[in-house]
Amino acid sequence: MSTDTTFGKIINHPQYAELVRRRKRLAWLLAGSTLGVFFSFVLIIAFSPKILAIPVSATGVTTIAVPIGVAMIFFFWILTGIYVRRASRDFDGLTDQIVREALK
Amino acid sequence: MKELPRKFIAGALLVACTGLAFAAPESKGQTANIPAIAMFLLFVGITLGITYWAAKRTKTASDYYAAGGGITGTQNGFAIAGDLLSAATLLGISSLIFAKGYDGFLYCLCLIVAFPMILFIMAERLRNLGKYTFADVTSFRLSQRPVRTTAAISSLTVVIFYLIAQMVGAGQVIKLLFGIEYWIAVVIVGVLMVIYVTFGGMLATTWVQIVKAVLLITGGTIMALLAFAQFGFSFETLASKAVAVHKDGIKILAPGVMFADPVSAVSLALGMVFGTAGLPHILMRFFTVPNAVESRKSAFVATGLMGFFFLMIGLIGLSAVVLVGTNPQYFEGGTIGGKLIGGGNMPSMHLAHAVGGNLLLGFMAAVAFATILAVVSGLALAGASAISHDIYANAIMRGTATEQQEIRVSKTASLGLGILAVILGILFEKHNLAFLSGLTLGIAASANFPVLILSMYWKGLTTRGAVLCGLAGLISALALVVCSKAVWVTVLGNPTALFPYEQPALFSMPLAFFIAWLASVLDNSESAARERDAFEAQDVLAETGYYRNPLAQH
Repeated sequence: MSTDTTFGKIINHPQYAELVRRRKRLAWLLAGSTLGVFFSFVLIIAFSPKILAIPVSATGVTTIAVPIGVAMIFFFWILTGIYVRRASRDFDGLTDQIVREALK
Repeated sequence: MKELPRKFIAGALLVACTGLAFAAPESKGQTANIPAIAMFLLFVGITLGITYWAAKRTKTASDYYAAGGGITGTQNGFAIAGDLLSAATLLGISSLIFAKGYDGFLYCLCLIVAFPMILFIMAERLRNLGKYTFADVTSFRLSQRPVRTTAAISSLTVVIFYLIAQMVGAGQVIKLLFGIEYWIAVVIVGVLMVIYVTFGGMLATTWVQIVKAVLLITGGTIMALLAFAQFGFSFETLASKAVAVHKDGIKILAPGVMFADPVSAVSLALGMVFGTAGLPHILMRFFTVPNAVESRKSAFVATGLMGFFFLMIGLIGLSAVVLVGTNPQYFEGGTIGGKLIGGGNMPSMHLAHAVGGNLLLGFMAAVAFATILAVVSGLALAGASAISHDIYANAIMRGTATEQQEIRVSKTASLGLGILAVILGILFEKHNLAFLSGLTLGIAASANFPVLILSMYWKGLTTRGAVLCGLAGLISALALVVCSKAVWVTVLGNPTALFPYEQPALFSMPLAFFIAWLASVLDNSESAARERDAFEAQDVLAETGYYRNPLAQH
């Protein structure tokens, strides 16, 4: 098993720490935005739901809760798209390079 | 042995056909829906074909548990969305919207948040660290026996409660839509589930789920658009008509009573988000893709499909308020506002009839049946894997069992789970099982999720911490649900609830995290020190998945 030497080479690779740091920052930023938006919404519902009952226009019945709910679904999906895109653009090549050099 | 799958599959088709054909005319008060039965038999035929095809390709343990890692990200995204879009989603959430308006839609929002979270913090690590079950990840650097046993116990608890809920729902829905006896419906579901899982393993279970997801999303979209067309594709027209006819009027367009209590609202939201991220049959799907890249893609596709479907469900529920809620033919005795024919879960089925006649009703009924089958199969496979991979192969045999022995145990376990599910499904027919969804998600959020996240991110976690964390989450979630109104008062008949809230997660989840921390930091044993030291190597693997690189294969 060359696992131990591979592991050592990876962890000492000059770019490994940068890979980990950048990916963690992106992941926690997006996870924080998701949870932040979602739980703010839950707390608004719990403490002052009246805000969400305001109609979108003076003449209609549709409340702002409707577009906000729909927008949240799109927002979460777009965040997953951003992660997938950023990860394949910024991290996959770098990971592959680090692993290849470590396995040499 | 070679002949066995074919014979069983042929036999199963026969059981399904005769069960439906002969039972249908016998039952009272229900007219059998011919298009529904025809379309359901077509689905069963296709899925048994898939199972036969998958059985020939399922030889190794990796084939059996993880479809050989050969599912693409997009396919897996459909399968994951399919797992979450159960009959409860199609029937239950649309009927909640029908009854309460916007509150029902909030459930959709809670469910969908789980997937971005899984993607950002779990999907790639799961794929890089695990093989077949999530306990592969939690036990990666910890003591195999105790950690896997704890994980298997909570997985099985979740799977069995979830199975009971699905089985009882299945029996009731199928009885109504197909006009067959409750117990026959439960037996058909049980038999087909065992066939898919034992013969076709994960490959069949995944493709059954994909076929169903496509049918469900297509059917739901057609139904939503046909209904929306009646309002000139204007949400404002639909909303104003719904407000005009609903007994709660304008209130249905904003959050109402269901989330009024802050503690319950936060507890429910926590349970749904992190419970979904701790469901064993969902987590298992991340092991069916070849690498972390596909793993990411599956979460992206699943989020998109679910988001789209939830928008359709919103339209379906709100349209039903107008198109079903004002039509006397869908109410018992023709009394508008009285009891819906078939019970509270039926608005979406009545809407299918209202906008697409018997043909669309038949299609949606068949899809509802298919949905139940696909979801219970995924559950049974997750439960069987916990028994065979975690308990048998690793905890009991300590890794010395051959793959064939392990697969045999898994097949026996899925048969056992099938029998158990049928028996429990029949026993619980008349019980009020409303507490089950809160219970399963509460346990998954409190027993599975904390151990999983800590094992991946916290160096300090030790075996003692992981085991006590899992047990604390499991026991506290169970105890809180038993003491809540849904069980203590409704089921056990006591006058007042000991625990004033319905959902346990707000209390049981932090407790599990706290116990994990406390037990780990107090653990000064030598093995604990070794486990902490092993974190760095695990973390490098989690970040890079380097053993999957072709250069590392020798």
